[in-house]
Amino acid sequence: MDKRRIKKRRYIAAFIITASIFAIGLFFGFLMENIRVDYFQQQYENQELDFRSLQLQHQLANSELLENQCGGIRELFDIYIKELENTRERLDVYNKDAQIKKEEFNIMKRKYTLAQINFWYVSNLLKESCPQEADFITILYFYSDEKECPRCNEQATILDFYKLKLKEKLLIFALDSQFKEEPTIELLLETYDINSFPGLIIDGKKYNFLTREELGEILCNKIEDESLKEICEKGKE
Amino acid sequence: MIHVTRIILDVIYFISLYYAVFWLLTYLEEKPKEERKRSFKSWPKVSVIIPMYNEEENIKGTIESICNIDYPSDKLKIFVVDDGSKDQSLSIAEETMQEEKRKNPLLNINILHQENQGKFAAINTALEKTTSPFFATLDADSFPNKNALKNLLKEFTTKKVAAVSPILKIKNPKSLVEKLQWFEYAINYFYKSIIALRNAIHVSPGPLTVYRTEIVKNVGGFKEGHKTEDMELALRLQSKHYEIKQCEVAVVYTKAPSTLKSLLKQRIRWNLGSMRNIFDYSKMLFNKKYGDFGLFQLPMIPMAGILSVGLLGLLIFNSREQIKRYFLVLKTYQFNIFEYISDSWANFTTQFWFLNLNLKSIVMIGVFFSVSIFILYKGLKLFNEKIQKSKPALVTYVFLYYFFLAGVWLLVFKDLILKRDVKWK
Repeated sequence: MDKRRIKKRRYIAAFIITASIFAIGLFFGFLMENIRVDYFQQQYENQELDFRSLQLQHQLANSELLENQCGGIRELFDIYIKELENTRERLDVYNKDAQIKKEEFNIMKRKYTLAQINFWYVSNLLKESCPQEADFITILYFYSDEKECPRCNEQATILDFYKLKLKEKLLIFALDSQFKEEPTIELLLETYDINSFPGLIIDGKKYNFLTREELGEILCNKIEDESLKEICEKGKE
Repeated sequence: MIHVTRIILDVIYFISLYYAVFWLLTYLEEKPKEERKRSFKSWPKVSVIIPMYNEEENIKGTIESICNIDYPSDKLKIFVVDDGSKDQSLSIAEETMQEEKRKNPLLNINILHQENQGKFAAINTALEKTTSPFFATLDADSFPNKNALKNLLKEFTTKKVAAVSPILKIKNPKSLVEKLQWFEYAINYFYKSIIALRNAIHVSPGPLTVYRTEIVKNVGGFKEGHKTEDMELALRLQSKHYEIKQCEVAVVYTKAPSTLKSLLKQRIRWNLGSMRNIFDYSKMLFNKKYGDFGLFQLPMIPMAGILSVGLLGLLIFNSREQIKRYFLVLKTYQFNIFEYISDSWANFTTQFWFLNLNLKSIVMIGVFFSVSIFILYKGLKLFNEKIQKSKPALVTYVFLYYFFLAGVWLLVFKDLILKRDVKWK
């Protein structure tokens, strides 16, 4: 019987073509990561400007120059918080996806974490200096990974539930307690004595996991607006 | 964990793509040339063996179709072998035989009867009585076109050709399951026509494959072959370096499982039989001596099973997180879906639509999709049919059939691990 022949050349050619298609795929993936990093960079720069403006307005409002001029602050505040929360959430998702630009994503994450803490700080100052404009509730939310915090996912959905309804009346600052690159987080954890997760600081008071009903109760006590009260009353049920 | 699953996914993708690229290259480089077909001054003698077990519904049609096939009556000998049917098959076969003989007294048709021993034994019973240089097997639920036999014989161009198989089409596909298989058969046929270029076919199906009698007798006739005797014989022929061909102009219609459950049983039998037979012929795996068949095609059969089960597992594993998240959301909304939809709608943003694109997956899935469409197009062209058959079936085939096949493989691996035997029904 004749010997069978194989075409070695074809095995190699098929490998090269397959590898090339793979390389094109990887290249596009890499391109996308670049676009994402650029986007967040751009976004961050804009937000930083917004933040500086906010800070300056607050300082001016507090100074003798423009006493009790709280009007413009609120508007800027609302835009800023919306952008910040949206981008932070996306950033977390893309960070998990990132294959090559891990380092850049980590730096971005640090920037956004700082921006959040900054903003939380300003929102506290605002409550003191412009109380009539500061009709919002702030929640600092410390989360961790599955292993350390199996109920964090559930807590996040409950927070989202109220956020979607109360919108700018509820400010949630979600901080990754595992993000060791940013020492400020450690500082906050120690200050509020948080050693189990999820950890929530609502207007300065510490809580652990809160169910939809419990959180509704707490929010109801703080909300004055009648139409919004309905929402948290319903959430309590 | 995310990185492990990503790497596994990439490996699965790479192997599948390599496989597709290899055969597409073969197709482009060795496109079936207009080969000179063998012509006969006088047609050779052929025996057609119809093994039959409980086929009372189909046997009449099968006998009629083979009796009316375009072939000189004095060169054709038909054996119907009843393998101990428990229904009316035998009497119906006898009746049909008498009728056909009345119409054409020259017909040479014989009915043999034996205790139930299995399909392979039924074929062997008739094979022992066969003296013609060629013989064909014909499943009792299959119906060849008039010109099928002549066209198949024309493919025996060299002494090395041991078997030639026709195009198989599903007879009167009515249910969605049958229509799905109609598409599947079209695609499989195109794919088999490519691997045939490198003599890498691993099965010579029951509906009217023609064999060279001498070769089959020399290699020992049919064997039990884990209830997939047509695959066992093909592997045996391959192991002796004989050639198995496909004929693009011989069409045979065959009955297919019409329900998902019966299809599942058939596929478990096929795949489990394949695996068992491949174990028996494992010496050919990755063996250069057996050409592209041993080195590449044969290992791809178990590999396809492993990859499809692996992919299914990964998909379930990855969507598990997603499902958990949605469950939590709905729980928070106390399963008031409308409230959830209206809340998310009010906060809907398109801000990230572009950034959310996973370009790497889009490129890779795009390549796969194009290859699939090409194969589908070619398969239908070869089948000489258009997509008019059934659009819902086509959509189901493209998007959902994979999950069914992966499920079949999962059950096959379970049976292999538990060392279960292949069952007929």
